[in-house]
Amino acid sequence: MNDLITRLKKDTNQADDIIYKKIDLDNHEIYFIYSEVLVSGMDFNRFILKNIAYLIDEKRKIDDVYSFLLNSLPAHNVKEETKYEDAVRKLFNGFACFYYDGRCFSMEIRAVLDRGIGEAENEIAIRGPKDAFTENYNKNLGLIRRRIKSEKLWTETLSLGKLSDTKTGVLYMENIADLKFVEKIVTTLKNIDIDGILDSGYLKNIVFQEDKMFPVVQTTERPDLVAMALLEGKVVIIVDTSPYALILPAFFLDFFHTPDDYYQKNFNISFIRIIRLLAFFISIFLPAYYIAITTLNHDSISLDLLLNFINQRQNVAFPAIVEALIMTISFEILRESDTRMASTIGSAVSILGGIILGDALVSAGIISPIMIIVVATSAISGLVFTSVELTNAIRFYRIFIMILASFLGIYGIYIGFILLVTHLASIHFLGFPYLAPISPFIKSEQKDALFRIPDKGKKYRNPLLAKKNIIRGKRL
Amino acid sequence: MKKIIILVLCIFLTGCTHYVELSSLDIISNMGIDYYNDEFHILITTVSKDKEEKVYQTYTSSGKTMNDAILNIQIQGDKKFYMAHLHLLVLTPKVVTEVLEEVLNFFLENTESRNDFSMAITDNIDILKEEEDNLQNRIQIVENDLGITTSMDFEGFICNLLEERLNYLPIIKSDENIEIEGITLLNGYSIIGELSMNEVIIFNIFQNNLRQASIYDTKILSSQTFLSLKNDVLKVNVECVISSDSKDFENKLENGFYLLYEKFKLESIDIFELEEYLQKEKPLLFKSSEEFSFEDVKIDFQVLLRISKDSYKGVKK
Repeated sequence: MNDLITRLKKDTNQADDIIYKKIDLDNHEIYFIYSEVLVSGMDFNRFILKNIAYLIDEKRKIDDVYSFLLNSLPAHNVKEETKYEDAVRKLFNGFACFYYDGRCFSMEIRAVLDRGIGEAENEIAIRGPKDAFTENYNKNLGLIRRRIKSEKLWTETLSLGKLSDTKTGVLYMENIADLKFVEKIVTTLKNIDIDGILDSGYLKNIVFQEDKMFPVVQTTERPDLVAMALLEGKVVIIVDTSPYALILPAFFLDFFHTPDDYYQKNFNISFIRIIRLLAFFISIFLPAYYIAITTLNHDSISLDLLLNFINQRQNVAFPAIVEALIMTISFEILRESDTRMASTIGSAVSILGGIILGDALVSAGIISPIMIIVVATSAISGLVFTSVELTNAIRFYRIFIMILASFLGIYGIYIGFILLVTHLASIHFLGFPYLAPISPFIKSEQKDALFRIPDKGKKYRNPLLAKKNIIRGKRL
Repeated sequence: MKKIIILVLCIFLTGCTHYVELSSLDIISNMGIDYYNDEFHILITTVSKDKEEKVYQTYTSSGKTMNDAILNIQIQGDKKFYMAHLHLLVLTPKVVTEVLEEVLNFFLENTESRNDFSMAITDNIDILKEEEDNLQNRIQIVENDLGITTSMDFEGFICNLLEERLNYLPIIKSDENIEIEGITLLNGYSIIGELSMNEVIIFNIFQNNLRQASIYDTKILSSQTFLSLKNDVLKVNVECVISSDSKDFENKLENGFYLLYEKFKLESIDIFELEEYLQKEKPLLFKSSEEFSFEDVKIDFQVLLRISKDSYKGVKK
């Protein structure tokens, strides 16, 4: 630590944002070292420099400058640093380091570098709380603690990423969750060997998602959903600089549920869940079914409908599968460009792509109008789900079953359906069956599985997740 | 890797043989088959759509076999004739009596055609040129609203044939106008007679297949028939709901039943298949007593009338 300043200047290549403020206090040369971009300048002036200036004005005699300032400076998180590496890490975490005579302590004076708590952008709530996570770890933790005011909400804090040193928290209810599962997750996280974790998505992709097509980890920006998951016995990971929390494990049916489901009437929710399930199947199978009935299984629709289809496809140059692939790929390009474009240009792209291009494709005999209806219905149905991974999985299966249907007709769709169900049933995430509570069948969970059956409060937690205090409302 | 190769081969080597684009299809809606000069004569009506209007086109051909005749028709068209949406198959009496088996086999062997198309009998298959689309609908309407015919689909016809039961086909007459009335009765591959309009109504009442009908100046709104055997008397209880009270209607209807039964009994035909009913419901009668003979069973038709509550009661002063 003796040569902290020299070494730091060398290691940072004399970075401009690192300030080495030298102050002469009672004939002692003291240094404050901090990053001006990470430290709140106003707080530093108000609480640190102002006090030092007061001491200088008073010409106060101080015997042990280091100990005096360590105990008297008004900072809430003050810690002595003995290692150069620790001091540097603190420096780049928004701490200011006090250096004197080869000794150093750090004080937390972070600048607020994140936006305030805003509304959820991707998981829009009709009813219920509107607040969403931000990029600030503490704020995110605060939003969760605000909902679960219990000492049993435990946090395992880790620093992940060799260069990013990202603060990561594993949250769970000690009196509900399966501690072995928590341990497994913490161990997995500790074993990550990576230079930087810049978002929770890194963890999802590197550690948990592996090569699974369907999402086994739920990503959310809503603190109320996180609180629900914690009370269910699930484990939540929050990462500094990420406005998305990870909920583990996620079951297939979790993607058909939203927090809003619990703020509205049960009857309506059951209906909406049926619609979501329908949307899932329509999104995957509708284009394939259209291809099957227009190429191989002409007998499976009524004559009037068939005549309409024949009429519409009369001037189309391509076979149905090519037509469907052109439309599907066009839609995906439009969606991607719409997502990446600035919102002002995005709407223009939507209009140009959706209306003008669609109309032109029909006029040019490349696409039939019915194919636009089919692909648009299928694509819109896929957008019912907020999970990008699920939407991607749906897109993969849509194209795969379309190709099967173009070769085998409706039998191809059956084969695709069997493969889909087999795939879903074969997914196990850290020992949890993905299709639970349908397979394996868990009777107590059926009241809130496919449908939401009226009940005087849900009485039991998912027995797969909660290993203690399975009965809800029981005094914990 | 092997699994993937097998899967890919399965996909690429199967199924595609039936691939036909919609725009290459000509949909057959009606088909008529006649047989003379040792040749099948076929008339088909195809349907397509031009903007909002349905457009019909007829093709005729002949051949020594059904397959030949169909192939000869295919030569005339520029698209593939598609039979899965066939609605109505019209046969002439000559086809029914002489080459019905070959016709039925043709449809059974044809993987493209379905088994739910209606069948009818007519003297002249050219009626399909005049009534292009509505014939099958007309048969349904006549059956449901008037009760003077009974429709029959291909699957039902084959079932009756295999179970050696009486079969029937609605009759399409083409004198001045096309009229649908009565049915032709078939026993196996031979025609055994025709039922007039009133006889069809009685036949439908017995079969519990009557929705509504007018007979003997009375409108029947619904009917139900029960059978019961007691002391060697087979009682046929018919309950009819009629719209208004009608004098002597019960006796007329009972008499109608007797007349129809006796008419076919003379030709040793049990039109109501009462013997089959007894064999199904009381099999022990036939097994236990060797002396038992259906000839000894007396048939008693009894009609019970009920007047509909919604019927018109007249104007009260």
